Amino acid sequence: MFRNSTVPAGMSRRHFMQHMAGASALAVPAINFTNSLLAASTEMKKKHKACIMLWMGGGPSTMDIWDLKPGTNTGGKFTPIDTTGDLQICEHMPMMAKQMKHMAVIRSMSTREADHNRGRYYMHTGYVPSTTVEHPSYGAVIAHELSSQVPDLEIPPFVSVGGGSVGPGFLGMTYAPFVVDSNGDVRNLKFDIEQARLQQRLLTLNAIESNFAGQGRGDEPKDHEKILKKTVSLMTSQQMAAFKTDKEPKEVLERYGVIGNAGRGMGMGNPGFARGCLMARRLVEQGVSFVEVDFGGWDNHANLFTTFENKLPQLDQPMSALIEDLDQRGMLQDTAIVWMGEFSRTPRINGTAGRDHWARAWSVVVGGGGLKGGQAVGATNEDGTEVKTEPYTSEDVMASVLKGLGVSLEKTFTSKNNRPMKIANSGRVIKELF
Amino acid sequence: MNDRVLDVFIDEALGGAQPPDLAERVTAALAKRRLDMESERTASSMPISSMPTSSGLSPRPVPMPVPIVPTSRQTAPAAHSAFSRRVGLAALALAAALLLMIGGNWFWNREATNPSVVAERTARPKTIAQKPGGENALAKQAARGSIEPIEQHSQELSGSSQPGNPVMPIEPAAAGAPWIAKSPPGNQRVGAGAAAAGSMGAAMNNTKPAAAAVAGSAESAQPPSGARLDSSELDATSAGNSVADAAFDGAIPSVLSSSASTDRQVVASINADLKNRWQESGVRSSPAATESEWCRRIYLDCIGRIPTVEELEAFLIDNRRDKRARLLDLLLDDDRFVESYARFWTTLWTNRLIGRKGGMEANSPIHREGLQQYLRRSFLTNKPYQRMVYELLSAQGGNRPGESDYNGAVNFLLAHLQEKATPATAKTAQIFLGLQVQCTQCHNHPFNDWKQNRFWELNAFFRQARDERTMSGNQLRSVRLVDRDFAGEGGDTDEAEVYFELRNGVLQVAYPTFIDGAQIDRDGRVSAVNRRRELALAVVRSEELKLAIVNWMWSHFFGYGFTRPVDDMGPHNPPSHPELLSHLAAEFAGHGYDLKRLIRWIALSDAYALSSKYGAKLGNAADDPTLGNVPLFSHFYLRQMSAEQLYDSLLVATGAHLSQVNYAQQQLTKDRWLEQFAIAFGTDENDEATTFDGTITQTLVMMNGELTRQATNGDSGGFLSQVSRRAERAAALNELYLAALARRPSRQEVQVANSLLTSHAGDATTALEDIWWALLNSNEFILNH
Amino acid sequence: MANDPASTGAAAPPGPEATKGEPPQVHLAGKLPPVANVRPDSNVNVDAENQGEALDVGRLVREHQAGLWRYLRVLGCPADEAEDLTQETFLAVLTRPFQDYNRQATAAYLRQVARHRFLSGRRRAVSFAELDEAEAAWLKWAAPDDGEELLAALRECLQTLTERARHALNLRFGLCQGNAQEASRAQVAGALGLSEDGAKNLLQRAKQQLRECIDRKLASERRGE
Repeated sequence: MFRNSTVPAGMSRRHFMQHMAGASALAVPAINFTNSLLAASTEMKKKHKACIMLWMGGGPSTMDIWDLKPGTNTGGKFTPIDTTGDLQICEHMPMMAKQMKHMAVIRSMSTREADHNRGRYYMHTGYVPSTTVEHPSYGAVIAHELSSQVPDLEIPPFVSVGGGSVGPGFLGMTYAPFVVDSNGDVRNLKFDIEQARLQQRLLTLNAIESNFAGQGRGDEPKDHEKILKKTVSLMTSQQMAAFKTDKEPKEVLERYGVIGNAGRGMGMGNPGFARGCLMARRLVEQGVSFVEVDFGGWDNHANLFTTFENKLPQLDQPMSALIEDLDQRGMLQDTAIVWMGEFSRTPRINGTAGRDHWARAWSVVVGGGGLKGGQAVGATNEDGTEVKTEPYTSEDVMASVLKGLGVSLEKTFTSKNNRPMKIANSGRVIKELF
Repeated sequence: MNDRVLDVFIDEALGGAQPPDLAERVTAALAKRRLDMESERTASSMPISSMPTSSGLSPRPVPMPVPIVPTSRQTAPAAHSAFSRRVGLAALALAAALLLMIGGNWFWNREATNPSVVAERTARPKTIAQKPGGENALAKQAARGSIEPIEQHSQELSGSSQPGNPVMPIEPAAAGAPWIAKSPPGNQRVGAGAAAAGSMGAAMNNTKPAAAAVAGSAESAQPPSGARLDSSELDATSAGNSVADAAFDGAIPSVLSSSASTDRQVVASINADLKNRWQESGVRSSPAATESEWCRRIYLDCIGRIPTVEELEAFLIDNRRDKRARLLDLLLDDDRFVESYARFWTTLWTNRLIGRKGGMEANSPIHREGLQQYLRRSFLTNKPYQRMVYELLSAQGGNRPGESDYNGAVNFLLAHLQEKATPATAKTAQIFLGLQVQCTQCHNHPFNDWKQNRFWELNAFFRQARDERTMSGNQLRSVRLVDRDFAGEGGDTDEAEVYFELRNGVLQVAYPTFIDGAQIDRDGRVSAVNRRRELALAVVRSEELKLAIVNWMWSHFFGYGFTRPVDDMGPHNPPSHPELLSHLAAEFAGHGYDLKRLIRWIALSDAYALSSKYGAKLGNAADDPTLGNVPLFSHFYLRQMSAEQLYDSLLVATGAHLSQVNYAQQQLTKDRWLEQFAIAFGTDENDEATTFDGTITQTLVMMNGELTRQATNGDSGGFLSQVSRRAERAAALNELYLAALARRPSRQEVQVANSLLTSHAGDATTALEDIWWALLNSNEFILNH
Repeated sequence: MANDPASTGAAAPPGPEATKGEPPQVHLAGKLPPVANVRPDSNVNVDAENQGEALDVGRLVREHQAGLWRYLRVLGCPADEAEDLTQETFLAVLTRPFQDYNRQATAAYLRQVARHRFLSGRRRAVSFAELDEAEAAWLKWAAPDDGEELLAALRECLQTLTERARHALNLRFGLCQGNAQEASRAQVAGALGLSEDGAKNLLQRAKQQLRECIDRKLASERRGE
């Protein structure tokens, strides 16, 4: 893309960036571009740590997927099946059943936010919404902690496929999610002028930009300046190819369910989540620290079971493909996977064959990234209305994932109003996961 | 033992919130604060003007600022002072208690709606238009220039006032209100249409002298919007509303409060309230913004785009004392701007009512353009807010133009009727009443006293509503919103009830009951009770309606409302400026729910004219809501343009607005462009967010997007080509800076431009393209400052 | 912080009116410990000059923070806000001349400042009757030792409850490490399979038992048993 559109033949990106930097002698200091070397490709891509979150917007009924209660009033109509791990899951998740040796289902989640927006915020940050502090999301925290492992990364370290994530809070716009749609089309990436001219434009821009940023109008003008630099770096990056899932071989596309009907039920399904999962793997390979893939439509107040019969295969195939793929490439040890929604749904089945919002007892699935799979952690009582082992929270999940990724839990951030904030809100590590 | 004590200790004993260890933080913060104070002491030589002087009624401590001194023998012991202060504290506490009692009920107070009061008011209608004496007095006062709090800030061109000039009163003519009462109910439809047109005509006539006088260059100023008003649209008044309107007129008298203050008084009260608060809080206000900054703001916030160079210059060369009020008159009432005004507020309200994505996908039951058409018409005629809300809630009819009973207003509720109309319930409470109740659908509200039953009682009002769809083949042809007899979930039409489940599965019953506890007949037959109409009446009579709209409007102009979030009001979330909020709400109602008037008050306040510069040197570093502090409005809060504002500003910048002809087409192009930034959350509550929030995505749009490409093409025949045809380069450069940033280039910026020109071998057009690109991509451009 | 003069421009040196020796304000400020009449310039290097005499801020904070924080919670602050206000209170008090004569007096002083800060953040949203009641209860039950004794008694008394009652309380309070607000009564009801009224009764009974138990314990302790 880069070679085709903007850089004259024979000029490497590095050469180009040097040109840009050299121009700073002109009249004003130029924008400082990231000191980018041409990505030393394969070596560094392999060993860095990362996290992929599969975000189930709407609040999926986990007792119909991961923690079935057959034969009880609340149990629903699905049957549990055996897996390669020491636990059973729903019959409509056969491909995941083969991968469960890598994954752990935390069945004793107990949280308190049962409103979509509050739940989304809480599960993404480990904090409840506050009027005084904007907390950084998982993605921003992990990007903040891990992105230094990949100094040559030109893509933002936090990518959200399909949106729906929570922002960087007090960590600042540098760690904001870069939102792309699942097609991987990053709009407006190409600049259709010569690079020399772009460079001149940037110099002119810099003069205006820094003038305004220096006038004591708070942080926003300065943040804008930072984002400009990142954007320019992105525009000239070859790494953007990581967003292009269609470059993958046909077998891979089929395995994920992007094309064809290799799995069941995907023919009519929306391949967006499949693409997202595949893109997540490509991005992590490229060095991105945190990828969140959005899969919505779980707010099933009505007709839950008929919906699930179509929907679970759409979850099953891409999710299992992602785990298998990461494992085969030797990346699973360094890549944590987190599957969760903002909450789950009532054990009671309501009058319209749906379930309503419920946060007291539910499940989150984690694996990879040094976390011990093949197990169920904690348990709910027989009809799923209560957690009967030690209850875990969003903070605990976050703390455990961070530990798995080698991030120190002693880390403390300082919010804008000088309030120290322990990473993961002082969550406890879930010991069964190690 | 007191329950609260017990609760707190149980929480702690059971491992809930524990007392924090703050020793290190306090020590560190103390050291930092001392350093800050040192530097501030050296930076500022001003005496502390913000020290409290009288406010004996203030419940705040507002201790006297005291320099840090070493602890010494001269210092009285805390123990001693604690005792000797007892008397003072008692007095203070008493005063605070009084204040609390006086205002304690501010939120839930409700206007008495007993019939006799209503009847009395109807009998003696008093409208502003019928008070010429008042206006004359005001005009005289204005002519004398005795009261002019606004203009003391003008810096750049504060020329001498010219007493000889005819000075227009601030009061707008007619205020759009009187037509309600004048139309006989039986003839409502025709009457409303004609009266609306008449009222508009009156408004235009009245502002013309002012408009003509504003600027010599007014004629040369380009009309800001391309599409001309299609008068046929205005005539197409909704048929479905005719009965409802009569009901509205019967129930809501179009009476303006006789005790309503003049605009000047209201503005003065805003100024006084904010100023008191600055003093109490020990902050100073920032200096005034420049005139051109103010002008840029007001264009952005009133009509959704930056001013053209001609418009800016017209304002700057005007040297009359009331030029700001005049500019507002122009933007709000002049026929050259009323269209832009209506379009901007239509966009804002469309997004509020049905989201950025509502009606955008194929086969949607929502006809976005229909709603836009309804709103546009409402804003063109400055429909009283009360009436607009009434219509949105009670609308019946077909959702798209061409239907025999077309009524665009139905599209609001059509977007939210799914899931037993629970989204409609939540949106109505949130948008019109400022109450967030969505979570009470399933359980009691965690923070306020909203109980689950109240949600469903409100919900019961929507249950006669049906969306009836007409298909042609697989395609949805049209949808109409109608009311049908509701048999209740129990099947008894006489007592048509709604069921809801408690968390433990127990089923409970709810009947239509408004948030104040007022019940209506439980009969589910439309012929007996039209539930939506009853709801609409209750909503528009409620105190919450006024508070919520004032709060929202304030946040539109200031970046922050009196509560955060702006649509989550109630006893659990007290407003930052309660007196100001309730005062503005009362005045707003007293002036006939006139939105334009509310805009005038807010926009003419001193606070809106303050600079966005702030910090320790200016004495208001603490007034920073991004730190979580309560906004004090002691400086203008910088904020990013919305995607909508940016789009229209870029249109002006390209001149593209001149070429497009059809309003609907224009709107569609715009909606498509805006849609790329909207993200839906995949929930049943129609939540969504925008990525137009200062991220890389947005920056890419600005750098490489189609709009920028058009705008920076010097051969396009647009604005840039006109500028580059100018003979004088300095003038061209100036013009670009004025157009984008409402200021001239600095010396350094001229230098940069010169070197750019040199490197383009003197090709001015190319250089100007680059400069224009840089300007449009700058922080100073995208931030409303 | 917005309401904190000490953190804003108002912290600049006293203006002319103060140096002229006029009595400061009719305000609380006027009743503050008298201020040494020091010229602004002489404040430079305060800390360096007075290290020997300086107040041990860390000790003072540690001594009073728990009590102050609990007090604010009793007034009605959520945990986070209580934490913020506790910090602000110390800062406000410590940026003024201050001497720690004895524990009780200092605690009372801190409480007053905290209370004002709490009120100024709320303005009118507070029911004064409730506040007074809470305050009186604090003074009666917790003020002497910042609530430590009460907490200890409560811990013991919790053991005397039935498991079900304790479970209900656990649901309603505590469970979430302090950052989520309590579960609503409806949620407790749901979790215990009770009606909402049932849950309400259970919780109220449990609390009444606790109340009585604490009364007994504290009374006996105060009698020296």
